[in-house]
Amino acid sequence: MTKLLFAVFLPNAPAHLLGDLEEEAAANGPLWLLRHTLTAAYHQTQLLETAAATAFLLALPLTLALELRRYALTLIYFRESAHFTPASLTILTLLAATLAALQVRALPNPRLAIIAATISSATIAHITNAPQILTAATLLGGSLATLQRKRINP
Amino acid sequence: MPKGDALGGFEQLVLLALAHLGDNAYGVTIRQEIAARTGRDVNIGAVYATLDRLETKGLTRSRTGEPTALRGGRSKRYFELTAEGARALEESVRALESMTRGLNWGELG
Repeated sequence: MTKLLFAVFLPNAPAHLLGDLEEEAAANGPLWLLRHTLTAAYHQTQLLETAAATAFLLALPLTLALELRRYALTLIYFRESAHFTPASLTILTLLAATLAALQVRALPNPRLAIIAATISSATIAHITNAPQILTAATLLGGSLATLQRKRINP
Repeated sequence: MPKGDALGGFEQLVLLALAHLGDNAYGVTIRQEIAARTGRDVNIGAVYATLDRLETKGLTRSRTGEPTALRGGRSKRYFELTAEGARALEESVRALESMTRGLNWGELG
């Protein structure tokens, strides 16, 4: 749980900060850790990652629920019923942007990160049947924003 | 310290915590010291953002300590005041004392 929180919200934070959070969390519990991890991410100016990670954590269960609903509709009626609502498109956009941002942040080689982000975004688009242009734009935006942030605040 | 580079309120609190803690000033103890003395729920991220700024200004310096199992094998980063930091803190506190001398808190507001 702690490792996941740190990987999602504080991917590039210094080790001493993570150590401090872990040390105090032992006495204060998981809710304290969540609150202080989020505010630490804000103070570390990892705003894009914080926003993207929050969206990711919210978007994942919602996307799964929508996908299940869509799948159920294809079984019951006809395939054309399975269209995207604005909400599900927004969630998919956030999901693709988050994955792109996290991969660009996590992988040391920008070229490799862009390739990984492209593959994951294409996979999302293929699985969910989302409009390709939307996924491509999101991928590009997420990657460029993160690369820019990485340049400013390595 | 150059003119116009006065200490902010939170910077002052962090430097005072360093002065109190001596050799045992790292993120957790600094945060707890401020929280205990001021009653404010201070975030560790805010503490480090301030410490980084103070180090850039030359008012503090840091060294890496020993890793412990409680911290997931991560090292501590200990901080201490530099001579310039101590001087800046003294000036700042004296200015504050001077400004508050003679005030009757019960009559304010």
